[in-house]
Amino acid sequence: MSTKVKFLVYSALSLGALVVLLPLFWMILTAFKQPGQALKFDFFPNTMLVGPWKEVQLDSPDPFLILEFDPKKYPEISNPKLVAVVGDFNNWQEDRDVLQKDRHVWFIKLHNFEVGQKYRYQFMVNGQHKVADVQSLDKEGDISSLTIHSGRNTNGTLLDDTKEKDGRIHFQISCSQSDYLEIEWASEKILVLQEKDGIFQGSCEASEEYRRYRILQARSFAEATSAIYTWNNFQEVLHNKDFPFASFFLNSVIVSTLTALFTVVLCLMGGYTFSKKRFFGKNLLLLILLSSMMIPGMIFMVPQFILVSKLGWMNSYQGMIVPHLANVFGLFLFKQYIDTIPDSLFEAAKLDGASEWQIFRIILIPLSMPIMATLFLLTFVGQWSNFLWQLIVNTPDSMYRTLPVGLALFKGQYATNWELMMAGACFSIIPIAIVFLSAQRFFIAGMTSGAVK
Amino acid sequence: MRNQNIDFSQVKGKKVPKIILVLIFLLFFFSGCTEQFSSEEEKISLIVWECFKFDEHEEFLKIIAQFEKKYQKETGKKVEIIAKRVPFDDFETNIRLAALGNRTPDVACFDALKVLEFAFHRTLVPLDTLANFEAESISEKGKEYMKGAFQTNVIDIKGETHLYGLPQQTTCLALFWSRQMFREKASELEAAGLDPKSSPRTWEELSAYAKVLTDTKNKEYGFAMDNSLWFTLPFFGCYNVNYIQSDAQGNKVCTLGDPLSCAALQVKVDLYQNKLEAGAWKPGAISPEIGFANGKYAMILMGPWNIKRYRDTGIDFGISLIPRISRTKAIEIGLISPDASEKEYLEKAPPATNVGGNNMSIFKSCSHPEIAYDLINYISQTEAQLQWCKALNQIPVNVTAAEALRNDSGTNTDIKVFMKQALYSTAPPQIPRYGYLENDIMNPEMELALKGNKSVKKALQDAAKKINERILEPLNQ
Amino acid sequence: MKSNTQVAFSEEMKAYTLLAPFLLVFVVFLGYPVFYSLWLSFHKAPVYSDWYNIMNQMQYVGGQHYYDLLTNQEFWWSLLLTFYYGVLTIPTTIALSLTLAILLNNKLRGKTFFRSAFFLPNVLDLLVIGIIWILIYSPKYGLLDVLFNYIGISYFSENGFLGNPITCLPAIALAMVLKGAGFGMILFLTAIQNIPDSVYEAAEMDGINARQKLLFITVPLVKPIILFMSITGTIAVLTAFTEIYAMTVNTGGPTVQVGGETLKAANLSGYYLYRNFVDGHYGKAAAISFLLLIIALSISLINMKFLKSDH
Repeated sequence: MSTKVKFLVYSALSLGALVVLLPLFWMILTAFKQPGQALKFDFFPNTMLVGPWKEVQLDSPDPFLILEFDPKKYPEISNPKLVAVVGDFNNWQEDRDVLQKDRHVWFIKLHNFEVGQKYRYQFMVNGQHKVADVQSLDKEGDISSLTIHSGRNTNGTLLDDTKEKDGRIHFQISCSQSDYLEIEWASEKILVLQEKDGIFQGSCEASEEYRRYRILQARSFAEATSAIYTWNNFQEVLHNKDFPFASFFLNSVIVSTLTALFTVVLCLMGGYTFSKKRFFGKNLLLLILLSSMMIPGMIFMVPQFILVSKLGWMNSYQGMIVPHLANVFGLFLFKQYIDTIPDSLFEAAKLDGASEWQIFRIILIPLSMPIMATLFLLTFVGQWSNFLWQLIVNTPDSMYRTLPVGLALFKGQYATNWELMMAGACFSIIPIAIVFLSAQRFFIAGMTSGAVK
Repeated sequence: MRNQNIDFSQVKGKKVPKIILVLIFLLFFFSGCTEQFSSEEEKISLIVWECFKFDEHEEFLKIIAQFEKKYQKETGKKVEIIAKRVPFDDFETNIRLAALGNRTPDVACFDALKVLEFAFHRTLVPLDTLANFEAESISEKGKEYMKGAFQTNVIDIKGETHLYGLPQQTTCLALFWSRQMFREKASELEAAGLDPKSSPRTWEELSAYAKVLTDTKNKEYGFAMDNSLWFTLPFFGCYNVNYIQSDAQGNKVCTLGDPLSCAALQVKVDLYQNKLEAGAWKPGAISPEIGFANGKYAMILMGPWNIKRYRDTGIDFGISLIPRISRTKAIEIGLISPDASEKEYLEKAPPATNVGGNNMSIFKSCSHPEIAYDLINYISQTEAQLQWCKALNQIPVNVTAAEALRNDSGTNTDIKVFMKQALYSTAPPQIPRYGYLENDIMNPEMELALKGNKSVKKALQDAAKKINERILEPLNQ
Repeated sequence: MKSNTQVAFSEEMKAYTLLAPFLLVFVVFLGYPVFYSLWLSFHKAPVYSDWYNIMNQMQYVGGQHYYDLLTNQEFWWSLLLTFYYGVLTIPTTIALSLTLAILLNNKLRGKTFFRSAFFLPNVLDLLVIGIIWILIYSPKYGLLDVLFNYIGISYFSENGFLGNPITCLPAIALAMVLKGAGFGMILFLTAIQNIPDSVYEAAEMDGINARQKLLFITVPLVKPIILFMSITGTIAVLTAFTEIYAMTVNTGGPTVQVGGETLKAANLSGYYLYRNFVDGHYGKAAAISFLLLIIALSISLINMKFLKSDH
């Protein structure tokens, strides 16, 4: 092969592999995501924290108030998710003035005040705890108040005091949480701000293009990563007392392994018979078997269920294993595969006086190793993910419940907990990976070790 | 073609792995210990199937334990309640087959809309026939509960109305709006005379907001909606549409295609056709749930189940009541007279929503339906409801519990909005095969109407025809 | 010395002994359900059926289910779509699998990795695969649409690929071919590696080039596998529902209007069957499956004749 062809082949293969592996990547990444983050498309940790779009305020005499809420100063509040402020200025309406989050600190800029007036207010955290402002000096129980002077009023460090003045825009941002700030405009132009006494500054000419901006804050890679990813999902799956992972897992291993094993044995015997033996009614029998394969398996569920129920095989391993053993697909697969093994081999063996068992041992099994491995793998995987059957033959109090049924418990009525479900799926894929890797050996090496060559 | 000489002495046979034998042994070993339920002592036990999430299951177990204690204290009898989680997926098939094998649970807690199906197939015990049903009538009992949630259990089969379950948990849709997207477009919204700090109150206002918020260049949209019937019920509700009605002979008839239902669906169609909606209802499009989480859709209809997830991810959003039709529009289409009072306007054109959640029912296989009734009644009462809702931030189904939570300053504001919204929820019509009606009849027809392939009227009339032919006619026979 | 008939008889007995375990399970767990389903397909449950006692309430309706189906536009539409889907997937899956097998049979570096990579989707949950493809195919935000927009085609921004009735089935087919090719590849690999090197060596001595080698040696020798894949492919297509369920989020794809009927653009016969099954119409579902059986059987017989003719 010329290098050009080789290059083409490699790029096509790599592209194909990438596409078919995307679901796996997604599964693994989602398993590590923080609660709720699974719905988001963010997969790469962004070291620049992007703020919301803002408009430059004209420097007007209109007095405004910037309220800052720092959760670190409230030991009784952990993990605020929603911070609002209620007060005289919004008639104590609970869902009106909601603070914006800026890393750890929350803030809001309020307008329309009267100079000299005293305003009472409270912070409302997570929609239920009402607390006073610790930064305010003027407190009365859990209600704080602030008197509005002229111009700018604030209860803490000023966050963003960007103004337009003399035909230029002056950016003035104080930020104790970051040591590097950038301004980004819609045109994707960037301005790096210089720090001076804890205040980041910079300026540019005032034009329509620069009025709309957002602030980018540098953060460490670790911080950026932990904003999206976590280990906790795996722990939660393993250490959940309502979710006996070990028992689900063990049951699944037993059911899948035994089903796969017996299927392979039965199919090997059957496939060999159909391929190399002559007997009465062979073609008709094959046709009947094949036609049964053409009926969608779903249809068998109800009669099979009745059968299993009558046999008393509910809540047992047999109930999950035996009905799936007559795998016509596997039989047909083996027949077609054994068809590719020359008849002469078997005839020669028979001439040498080999018994049926010896033929199996010496010719059939070694030569069929790859296909046996394939069918084993497929049956294993099929049983490993067989949800509906394993659900219905086990009542919920059964000790034989399997992993697919267990994982389905993460799916809710309206919302699915993807993070936990994928963490569980990651565990559940491990045995498949092991079986696959060990079977892989047979696909590749098994074929050359046979007697043919 | 192939003719090779083979020397068999050179071929090494492979040993059959011993593990096969071991595994065969294992199979028989394990099959030997198939569970045998023995009834050594006379202890009454009830098996409950439920599809709760993990945290809900924990809370449920606590409530059950309290019931066991209370029951023993009051009657002196010992009762054991065994609550088992079952997957929500294929729950109906699960029950159907369990019934076939006569293995249904005593009590189950499941999707509110499935009571219809189970009741029509005679698997549930009518609660009002039980000896210890304490209320005078079904409607009397209904006064204890939120209307929509309770109504899903009152079912009329062949002219006989019975109560087939009690609500345990209720949900509905409300309007979620992205504060962040509103804030970013604050000056544009203000320029259009709209308040960026609050959400639209009427559908006309919603259109006005959506027009400003939609920015196709950045792939941002003012509004996004689902196509399914359940997500369309709020629209029908806003126009006070009751699409299954009884005719003079008492037969049920579907009346979709009348002016009101057309006007209701037209709201959706207009939103999409005027490019204010993202097309999120199309098969394969990014759903409102995901688009909202990614800051692409500014307003969606969503239920309380996503509050925690969205707050966890730090999305800055508010929740408010579903928009109503404006007074002028209501007068124009003849819903109310021009001099109607505020109360009448609210009654005829409410900020309506749908109903979901869980109901508890008793299956016919239950040998102690009276005790089971005591159990489900206990769970739906104030004390248990308050405990459940406080721990899990949910909407109570019980009126007194709701009242208590409304007056409790510790109640989450998000839930307060939903509690208010739940007052306007209505149960879907009492006909079986809701799933078929939704997925196979309504959704496709509404999709055609949204795409503009059919007029709204034609689509709804076609749907009505199918509902009459396939669901109601066999029912009326 | 045994007579010929005796030998033949003992061979037959051997054959049946070998088949016995398989047949036993088959008769009990598949044979009985088949007849049961056949019985079901002539019966119907009443509207108010009692689920505890549904099997005793079944009413005999004769061939009504079959008649209803054969006069039902939705059923014919689903068959038409299934045929189209089969044409889209079966040949492409076989071709792609064979190509992969031939490429990865060579002394290509990293072949183990590629083999594993292509096989892996077969062991993943289809729902997970569905989620990814839905994202890739989605309008406006999806990967493919973004790429198309980049080269100036904005046609797909309106409906995406799965929301467009024309591209919906091909899009599902592409995802499924990519998923299924890995399994076919393994089958072909096992068969190709069973071809003795001596065959190729002899051919090379005759001065045969690579293309001829493929056409005249490899393809004929893997014919049983091709037959296998086309038959199982046909069956898989006729009974396909998981992929439709996963890729259309259980909606059956976009709605289209054909001759006044409202139909779904991805409502394959297997999915149609599934919808009837979950809706509790066991009799009708059984009737559908027997009609599908007749179709599958005739196609498979034609297939077998066609692929066996020059054996």
